[in-house]
Amino acid sequence: MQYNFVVLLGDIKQISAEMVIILTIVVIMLMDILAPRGDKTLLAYISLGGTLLAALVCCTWNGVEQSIFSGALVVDRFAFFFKLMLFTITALTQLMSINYVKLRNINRGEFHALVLFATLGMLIMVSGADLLSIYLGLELNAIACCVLVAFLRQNVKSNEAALKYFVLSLFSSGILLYGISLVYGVTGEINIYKIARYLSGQQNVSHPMLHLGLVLLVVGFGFKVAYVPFHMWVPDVYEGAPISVAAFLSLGPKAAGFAVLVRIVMVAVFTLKVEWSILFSLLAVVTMTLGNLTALCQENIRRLLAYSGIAHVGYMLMGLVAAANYPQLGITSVIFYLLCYVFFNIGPFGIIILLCNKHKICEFIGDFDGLSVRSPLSAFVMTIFLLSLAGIPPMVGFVAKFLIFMAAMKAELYWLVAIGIINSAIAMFYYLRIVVAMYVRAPKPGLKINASPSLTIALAIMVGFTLLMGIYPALFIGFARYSIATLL
Amino acid sequence: MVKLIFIILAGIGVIAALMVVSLKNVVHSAFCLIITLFCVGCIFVLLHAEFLAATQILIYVGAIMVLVIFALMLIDSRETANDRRFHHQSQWVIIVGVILALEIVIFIIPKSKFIVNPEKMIAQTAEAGGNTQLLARYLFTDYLFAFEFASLIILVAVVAAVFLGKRLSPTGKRE
Repeated sequence: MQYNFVVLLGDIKQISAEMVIILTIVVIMLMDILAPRGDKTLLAYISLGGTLLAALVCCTWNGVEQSIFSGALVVDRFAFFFKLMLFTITALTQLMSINYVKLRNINRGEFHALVLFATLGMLIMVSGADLLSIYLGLELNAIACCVLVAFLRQNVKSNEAALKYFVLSLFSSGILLYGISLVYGVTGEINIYKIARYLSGQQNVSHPMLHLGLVLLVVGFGFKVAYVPFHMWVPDVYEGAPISVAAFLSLGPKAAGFAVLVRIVMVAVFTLKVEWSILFSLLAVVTMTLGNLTALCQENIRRLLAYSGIAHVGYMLMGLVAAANYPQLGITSVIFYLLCYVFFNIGPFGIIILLCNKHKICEFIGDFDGLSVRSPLSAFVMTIFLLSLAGIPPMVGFVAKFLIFMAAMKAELYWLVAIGIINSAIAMFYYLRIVVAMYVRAPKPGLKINASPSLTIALAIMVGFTLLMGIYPALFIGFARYSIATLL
Repeated sequence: MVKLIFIILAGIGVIAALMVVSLKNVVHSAFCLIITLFCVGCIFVLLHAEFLAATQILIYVGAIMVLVIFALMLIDSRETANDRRFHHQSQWVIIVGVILALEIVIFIIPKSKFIVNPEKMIAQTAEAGGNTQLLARYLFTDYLFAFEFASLIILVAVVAAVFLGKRLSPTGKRE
């Protein structure tokens, strides 16, 4: 196709949400320089406004599915679903950050700009249709996240976490690029849809080099999604990073990584489904089991959430395995899990922020002793999140887990379901441990909540959605099903 | 003939790369890195990618390595020379790594065939007016998005470097 200015303008129009984010970043950085001594809270509100505006612009998408920039990106329902999810994650992170950055004395323009940079990278990842743009999005996200982790510069743990994150993300990028080059060498294409077309035209797709390339891709994205054995950085990073950044990292890169994985395995190499479903079922088993067993002996809530997050990735991988035989059901369950995971996994981080003040961060289970006496409401909210994480019926966590197990049952993966259920039972213990600490133990002196309007709004949104989605999941499941209809 | 030259260049490149990570003196490592990058540049010449070869030499060997060596001048390399260089589990890593590498060489490579055909591509490139011209055309048409997006990555890297490199305020002592 002849590439001319009119086509280019049409393509740019399709990424107007991303353009809004870029413009917001530019505005923030300019205002940061022009008002060097002023209060940076205004910039936080501008970045939040930019995110909301971008989400609105994204919603004006008219439903036309097309590939843009000569196939570098694709605008489709699947990308739309994940973009809305990413905007939600970013907006919640920004709401939780407004007061927290002031508290920790890191209220700087760069912080707000970098959160948006990280979001931009993930937006490109989820709509990337060729491996090159996916890689570029991933790299933008990794650099921005790395600096966000290092933001508490006086803190040794933050520096250590950032260094680990940096080295591992470089390493994973290298592996990913090697995988991409092998896939390119075998198929001659980097575009996901063209790879699919080439492979479906082949008689014998069982090509050892392609398998190697696929394994390397899975490893490369494994560092982003954090399944075992590529999870080593997660606990240290969640512990060292600023809390709102840890919340952001616990969801954003995972969601974007899953979107890319789904696009690659379901579209590009769906013909190799026997091979990758074995790979993912093994990864699912070790990820669930190791995540849950290690979470059992954690005293620090941030590390506990890190390991529980790893375990949750294991459940999601189970849905991906089921998708090899029942694509519709499997992928719906995975992306629905991710969607509700946004609300009940960021929630506990919000509660930790609620409890921290200038001098002390309450991040150990012991610090939560008797929270129900000091602040019944925040203890109740935390309980809702924890019950949802554990997957107890009225909460959405139950529905999500149920969908995954149902998909796996239908795909006749009984052994995987059995391991999953045992793991859910183990997980119950460490979530309820926090609940017991909050309700049964005697309160500790000096526990004070430090609520700010923005944090309260964020928590209210998360609790609201956790309950709403638990009571009326059909609406959201329908949305998930709608969004994958044209992908498969 | 081309294959022989390739094997020699690739061999030197790989050995130099191994030396980058195993030598104790960081300055020596930096010089080995130059050799590796230079070999990669030469391989680009073998592949008839002259423009890439020139940029590889100019940017990596010329600019980036000079920066790396400048950075090394600021740290005391004698300090690192006496450190224990490797983790105590490194021998296991080497064993597993060698097994995996042999697996790739013995089982995977003989059974594989890359469909990207260099001879055909070289002919096509020559027809289209040469490597550099073709690259320029692709960069501003098919790969326009990647080209422009890369500028954002550079922007975030600059922001990151400035932020992390800035001196801490006098009150912000390390904890």
